Amino acid sequence: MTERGTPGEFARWVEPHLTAMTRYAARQVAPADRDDVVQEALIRAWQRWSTYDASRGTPVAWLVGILSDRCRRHRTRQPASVVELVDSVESAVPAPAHDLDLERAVAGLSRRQRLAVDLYYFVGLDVATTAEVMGCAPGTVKATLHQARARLRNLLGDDDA
Amino acid sequence: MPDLDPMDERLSAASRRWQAEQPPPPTVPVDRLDESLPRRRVPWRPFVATAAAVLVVVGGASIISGLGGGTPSPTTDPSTVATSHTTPDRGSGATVVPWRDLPAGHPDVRRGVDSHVVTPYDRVSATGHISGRAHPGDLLRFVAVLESSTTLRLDPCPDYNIAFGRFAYWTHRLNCEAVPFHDAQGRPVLPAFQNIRFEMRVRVPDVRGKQKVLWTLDGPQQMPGFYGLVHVTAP
Repeated sequence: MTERGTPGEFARWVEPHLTAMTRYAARQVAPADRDDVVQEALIRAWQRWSTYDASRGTPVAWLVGILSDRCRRHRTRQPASVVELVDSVESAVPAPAHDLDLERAVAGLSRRQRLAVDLYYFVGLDVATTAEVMGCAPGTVKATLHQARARLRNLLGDDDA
Repeated sequence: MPDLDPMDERLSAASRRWQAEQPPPPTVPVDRLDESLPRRRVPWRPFVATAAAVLVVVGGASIISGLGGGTPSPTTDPSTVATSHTTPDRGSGATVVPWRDLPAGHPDVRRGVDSHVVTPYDRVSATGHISGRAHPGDLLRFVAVLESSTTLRLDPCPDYNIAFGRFAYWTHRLNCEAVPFHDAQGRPVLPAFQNIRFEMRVRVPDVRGKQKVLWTLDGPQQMPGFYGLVHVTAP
């Protein structure tokens, strides 16, 4: 089916991008579902590997795009009660080292701003790759990040900082 | 001159901490790549459903459930577990410091410096991986890895905390007597930029659902630690 190579070659091709994929999934779905969603995305990527065109984007942007779709599908098929349960568990015992105020503020950003923050800061992509994933220009990513930081300062009451 | 944005620094610091505590990525499912994606969730861990006994290992955590024989009963205290072992480090081949049921020592390690409270453990980082499925009464085992940017004397031996879900919380002392590193006086130490892997055991309390299990080193203001989710189901 796939003309580009063997499963082993696919695994080696994907390997450098697994960390970014996993981080992105961890920002999008509950921790217990992270690995499931990543592996679903990998199967999907394997099935579509022959359609990957290097001239149209980097592998990591292509893979995160597929992963984003799987995360969206995953969220829509989760019963509400499961989501509530996971949320309540996570808020029950906060990790002391976490900047919880910041995490809550990030959750209060617009969808686009949060996506930019997640991809650039938490996933660790550079501006160009973040732009590829978001389907916009690098300058737009920079502007979105600038607006997101301003919004976070506002939400956290750090306007004077 | 770059325009330093405090929010940029705060986001960078928070994301670095978040990244450091993430469990390792899953492997590429090479043997399942040709499976068609189901309409509903894929049972990626089918072995879990049938693992009413023996051992479930997901990442660095393992859960021992009812095996009979030397297996502890759900009401048995972890200190009476019959399955003693020294877990090999799967990565480097180094041994893991075995778990012992040691009461918390509550060492007074805090001192004031320039109006700040500091402790010897302030430069310690703790990592580990906890995940899996369990029943109430099962024994959850995982490994806590401590690392420090400075050589740290483990005398007095620090305590650690384990929170299981909302209500279960324990504090114990690390098994410093079994640490493989010592100073000239024979006291246990954590050498700079080396790590020590401590085996951890905790009895799964009588709860249900996805429970957050949090491990922290006791003492520092910003307690280093890590957490994972354990799905507790009825026996």
